[in-house]
Amino acid sequence: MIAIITQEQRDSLVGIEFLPQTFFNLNVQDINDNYFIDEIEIGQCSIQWLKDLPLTIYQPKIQVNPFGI
Amino acid sequence: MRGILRMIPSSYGVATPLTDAWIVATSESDGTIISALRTFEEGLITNSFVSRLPVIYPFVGGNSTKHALNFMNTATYPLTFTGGLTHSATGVLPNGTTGFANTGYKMSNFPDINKYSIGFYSRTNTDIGVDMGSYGTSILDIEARYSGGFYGGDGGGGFLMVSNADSRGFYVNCRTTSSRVDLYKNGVSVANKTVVPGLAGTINMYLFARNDNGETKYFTAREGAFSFIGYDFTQAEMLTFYNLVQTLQTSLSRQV
Repeated sequence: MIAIITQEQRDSLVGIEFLPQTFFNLNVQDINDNYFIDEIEIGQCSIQWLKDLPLTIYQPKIQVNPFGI
Repeated sequence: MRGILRMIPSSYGVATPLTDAWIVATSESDGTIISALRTFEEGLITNSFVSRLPVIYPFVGGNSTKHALNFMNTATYPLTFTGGLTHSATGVLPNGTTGFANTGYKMSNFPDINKYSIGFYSRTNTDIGVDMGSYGTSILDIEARYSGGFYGGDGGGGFLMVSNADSRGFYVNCRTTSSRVDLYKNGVSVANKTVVPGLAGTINMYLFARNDNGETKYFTAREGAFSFIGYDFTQAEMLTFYNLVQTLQTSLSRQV
């Protein structure tokens, strides 16, 4: 499960260390080009407004074999 | 700390300075973990592997601080984690969508671009994603299972592939000469290829995804219980190394 976030919300989070040696990057988008944060990251961090976001099912972009076969 | 070191000696009295350094860096006190690491290090010493393994991430200790450390030198190549990763006693479980780790190690860091190896111990059976690697000037990676195949970038512009129905196990991509690359599963060569000389890419290798010229792609949801970056190994040595890694996993009750 994930929470959709806006570009501004995403930009405010990038680079924050939410666990030792663990940072937000948030450069992946879902199939509708929305930025999102995974529920694992939400659970591990201490940022309250993230925990209040509604969760939804993650719909990935189509991933192709990196070697194309 | 001195008390801990005295209480849990090496089983044969062999000095194990890497384990000692790791304990100092992590404050680890779990006797099972320390004993397993000492036995593993003794095996590395006995087989003259230490100097050929600049980077090992044993993923023991159960948290991001301990999992980030390079066992071979806790001051070099610490992992930087990003995104959704769950750390536990069994290793590091990525979420398959955002979680990955940056090793900081590049192909250009190998002293000889035609003598290298990388490896990943997978505890999960899934059919998609890249377990570790980079793609810049050249491709070097491990895909334990992708669309039914175990793939490995050949250090140039091509790849090797062999059918694979189960992505659990210890996977290694090893180049021993300017013209030969082998893929290993559980210590046995399962594919080899005549290749062009390696190209020294300058892109950091990632774990749990692939670094494609700075873009993180092909996330995996396979749990990692060990990973390494090393130099070349013969087929016999690779089997010996697998046995050391598998003994480590068995000692920690997380072998597959």
